[in-house]
Amino acid sequence: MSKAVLTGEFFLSGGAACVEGAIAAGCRFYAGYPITPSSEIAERMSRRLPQVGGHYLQMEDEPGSLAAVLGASWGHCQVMTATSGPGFSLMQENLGLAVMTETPCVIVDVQRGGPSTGLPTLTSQADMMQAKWGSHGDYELIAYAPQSPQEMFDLTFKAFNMAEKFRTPVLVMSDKIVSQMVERVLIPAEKQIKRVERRRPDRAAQANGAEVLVPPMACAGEGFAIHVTGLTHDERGYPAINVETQQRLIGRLRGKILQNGAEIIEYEERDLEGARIVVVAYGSTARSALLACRLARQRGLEVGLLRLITVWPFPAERIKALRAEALIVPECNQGQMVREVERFATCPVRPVSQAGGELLAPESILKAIEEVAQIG
Amino acid sequence: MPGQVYLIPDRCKGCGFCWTFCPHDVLEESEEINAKGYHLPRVKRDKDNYCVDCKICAIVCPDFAIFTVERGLAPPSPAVSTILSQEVGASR
Amino acid sequence: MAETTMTRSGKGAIRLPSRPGAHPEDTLLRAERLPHIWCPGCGIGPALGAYVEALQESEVPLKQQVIVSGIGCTGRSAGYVNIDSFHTTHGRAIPFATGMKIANPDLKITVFSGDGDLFAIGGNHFIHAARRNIDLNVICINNFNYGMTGGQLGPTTPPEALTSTSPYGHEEESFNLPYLAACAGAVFVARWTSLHFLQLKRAIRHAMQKEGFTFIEVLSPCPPGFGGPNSLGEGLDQMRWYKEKATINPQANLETIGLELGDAKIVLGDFVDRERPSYLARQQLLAQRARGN
Repeated sequence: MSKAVLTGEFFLSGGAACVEGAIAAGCRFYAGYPITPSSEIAERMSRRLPQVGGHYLQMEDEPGSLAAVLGASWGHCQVMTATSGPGFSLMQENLGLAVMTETPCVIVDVQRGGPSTGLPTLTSQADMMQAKWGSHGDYELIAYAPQSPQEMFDLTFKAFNMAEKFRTPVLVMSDKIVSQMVERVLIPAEKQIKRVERRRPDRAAQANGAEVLVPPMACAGEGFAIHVTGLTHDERGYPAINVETQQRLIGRLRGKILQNGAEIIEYEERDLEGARIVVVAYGSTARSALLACRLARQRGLEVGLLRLITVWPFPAERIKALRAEALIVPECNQGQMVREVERFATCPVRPVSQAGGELLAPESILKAIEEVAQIG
Repeated sequence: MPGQVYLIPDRCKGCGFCWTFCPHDVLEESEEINAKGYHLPRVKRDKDNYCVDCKICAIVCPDFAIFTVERGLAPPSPAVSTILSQEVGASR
Repeated sequence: MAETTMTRSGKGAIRLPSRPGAHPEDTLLRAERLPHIWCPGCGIGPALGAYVEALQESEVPLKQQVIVSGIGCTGRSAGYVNIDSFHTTHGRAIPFATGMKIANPDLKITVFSGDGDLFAIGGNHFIHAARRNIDLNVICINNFNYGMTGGQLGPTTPPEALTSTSPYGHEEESFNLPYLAACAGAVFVARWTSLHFLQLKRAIRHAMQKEGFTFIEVLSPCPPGFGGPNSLGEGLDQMRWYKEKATINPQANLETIGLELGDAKIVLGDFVDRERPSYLARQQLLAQRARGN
């Protein structure tokens, strides 16, 4: 059998690195449906999973893909699917099922131009709000925004650990550029890898009636006669269609993410000390923003960069704490994460928007920085 | 073998399957209703000894509300026993 | 303890309180949740009872038995059986079960769902699972309508029938489920009714010990959804309809056994019983090739 952890230094596409990160994390089941620009992930999975004793299943559609992924997770397996906008839309109902049933799984969305069939071969970042609000009802989840093939490895790996630890679906919000660009990727040694597994049922805790935010997970075939349902349910797992149970359940499901923000939320800061203008960016756009900030500094402007690594849950406290005179939020969409920034910022916020289709150029971000600096 | 009819009135929904399909016409609808307002079955007058424990009432009942046991044998114990709990000692 | 000194109805029936363990099937039911939500005269209960007895008689340990259901009245079945049970999204029980079976091939998974869930929204998944011959046992409770949502028409509603969304009847052919299942590749195909308990139980047991994708259609009364609008008002009327019109013919030409209202015969039987390598058996070959390379 081939190795699960391909330790070494490689020149890999983001999609390929994503697959390696998943397999290194323990992924042994992938069910998916081809869709540009994510198909390379499915293709590499179909080659690599059988080599490591795993299973690739090509389903007949996206709702079925995510359903199969959830079923396999309850069969005690680490699981993943990948898609793009149209498929992500189709998966929303079962994403809600994953949230409600607290099923660990990883879903990769390689974003492309939308809405609808849109620009199948061109990039965008236009699914960011959908990542949080795409399924019906109130819920929280974890979503990462990798900006490089290396991060596709690292953050996909982390996504699996977070999914297991918090019993939640975790999204990897990639895009066409990040998934298809080819860059150096370092894959660590097996002994440096730390995998997290879902917590098993603990008789002592049950006996004490210990209240936990993240319940242990008994899977099918382990002798616990579990009941799992998408209906609002009580602590036994049985349907309980009433207001009190809804409050308790939704409170806990959201609480397990929101109250663990310190552990979940990640961002990268550059030159924030004393910065009068802060650019808040994520994903591929953050690469353009990095160059724009560097150029602006060279011109004497006090600009810093806050790069969101987790986009959900949103780092509200960090935004609130920024002591800048203005924030700039460049995105390859018509203004999505900027809305969250606006909600928490204590200074004016300027979006740099785009209809989608190409990487936001550093020049357009630099132009916005200079305009804001002049006004200030 | 002669049979004894057991009824769980709270589960009954008065659908009529048991008294319609009993091959020996042992049962009939009674005037009595349970808490939900459903008419319960009863053994017909003088038909006590006609039940042969064929269990058709039990298998046709949609609500697990009626069953028969061979006369003289004990009914199932109300204490719950699960095969699963023997294997893993799981509490329910 | 049986309350033998308490009231006895007529002279004969001994009454028991509805506690878990009161009924012989209670060990396999989540009896604390009874009475269940289904209507008086609904046929889901007897079908579930047949499944539960088949579970008890099966050689597969209960720990490995799993029930997966979708949405609808029949979908609620998973909540009443005391084994690993999964109540999933509408139409997606089969793909969910597929993923679970692949992740843990030792599980014996039964998909227990309704006609709309399995053949409207779930139709695509049904035919692909049959094509793959994934080792799943699908039991479809066909009550000819969408019961839970108020009795709307579905893909198995006979054209001349009235439902809440076909007040003038409708002009679409209804699916002939055994025919469809056989054509899609199922290795065991049967049709029984909620009345034909013993044959149904035997068919379920046979399906459980057979490798591959099996399908059993169970015709069931639905008093408010189907019976009421079609002068088959009580569950008893529909059960009598099955008794009168049923004819058991395992050799029937499946193309001809579609269902209609009225005087037509209802053809029942174990129709198809064949062997095909299952999905997982064939996957072994693929895995060998992958590792060989």
